[in-house]
Amino acid sequence: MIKKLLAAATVILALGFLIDLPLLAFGWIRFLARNLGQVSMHPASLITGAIFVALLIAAVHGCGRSYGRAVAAKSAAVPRWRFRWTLAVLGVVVVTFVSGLSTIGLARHLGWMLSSTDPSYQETVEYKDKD
Amino acid sequence: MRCPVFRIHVRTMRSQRSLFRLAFLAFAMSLYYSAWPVFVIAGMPSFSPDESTRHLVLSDVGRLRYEAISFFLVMLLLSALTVRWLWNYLSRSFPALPRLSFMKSLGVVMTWGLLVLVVLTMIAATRELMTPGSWKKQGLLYTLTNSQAARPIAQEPRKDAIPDLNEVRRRGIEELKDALWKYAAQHKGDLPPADHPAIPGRLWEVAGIVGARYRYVAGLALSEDARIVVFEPAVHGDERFILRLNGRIERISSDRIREELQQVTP
Repeated sequence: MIKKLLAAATVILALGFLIDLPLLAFGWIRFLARNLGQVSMHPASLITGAIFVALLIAAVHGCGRSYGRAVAAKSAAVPRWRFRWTLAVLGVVVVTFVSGLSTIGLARHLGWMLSSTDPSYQETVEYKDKD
Repeated sequence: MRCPVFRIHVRTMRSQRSLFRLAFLAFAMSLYYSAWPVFVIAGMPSFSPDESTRHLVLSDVGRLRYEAISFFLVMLLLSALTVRWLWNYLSRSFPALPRLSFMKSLGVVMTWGLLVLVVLTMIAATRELMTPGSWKKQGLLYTLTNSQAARPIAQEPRKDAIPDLNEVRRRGIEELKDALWKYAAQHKGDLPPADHPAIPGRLWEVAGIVGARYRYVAGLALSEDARIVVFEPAVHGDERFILRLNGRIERISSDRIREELQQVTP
């Protein structure tokens, strides 16, 4: 346990020299504050999305019940397919896609950071009166 | 001694002495203050960089990138937590499913993310193959060419064409100029101090990039001088729009901006 903590502390310290850790930890708040205001709702798209999600839920639930019946024919101990299970399965699918988008976002920004000619850091100096 | 004339004489003597003391005091004070040069207001001010304060700071571009990376990292971690919770909820009803720890869940979502990345890169490559002539090589991937002829055949005509970004950027700095010049007209030509409430906050935001703000050289007054008073941060590449003190708006390179600012700093 102590070894793990030491390793984690070493990694954090090493990263701290390379990157701005507080900004990395809390920068998402400013990101959200900046971008949520730019989000606009499109009623037609929302309705279309809701209809397709409902159809998907119905389809997955139908498949689940069918699977449940097939298994129940072999073993009486298997309960009926529950609606919660359908939602959980769909939840896993949706969240894995969110994680996929997040990975793409991460990869793109890291790629830009490494390849861009615009520096992420710039030198600054204060001027003083010669006298 | 009681003679009124004598008394008058004595009073005159005293008042003369007081006057002499007062004059001496005034002379001594003027000598003292003239010998102690607290403020020297002659000649041009001269400044030099204080090397002890030289350090690296995040640029606007860097800050925006870090914030975006922070957001995507948080989304990834939240996804891992949610997947773990949902998976373990299902595993209670389906004993065949193994329990998932947070690290395993993180591994699953990251692997899935990488898979999506590969798939989308393949889709991007296919898109380039299916619309030959529409793309020009930029680094490892391709970007759309601007030519009208190179548009994909299947693309519908756009009813609300987005104005050219450069035009939007120019318009943004023109609006800021109008506000600054209006302030100056009401204040004998003096431009406003930094962050003055007379200039609405939205005018300081660079068009096309949320969160990036114009750089402003405060403390100047309108003149025919061509020094830079407002310039874009490096968020739209190397060529940036600038506003000069004489009112001209130009598009020049970052190196030239740096050179010009160093020549007149501060």
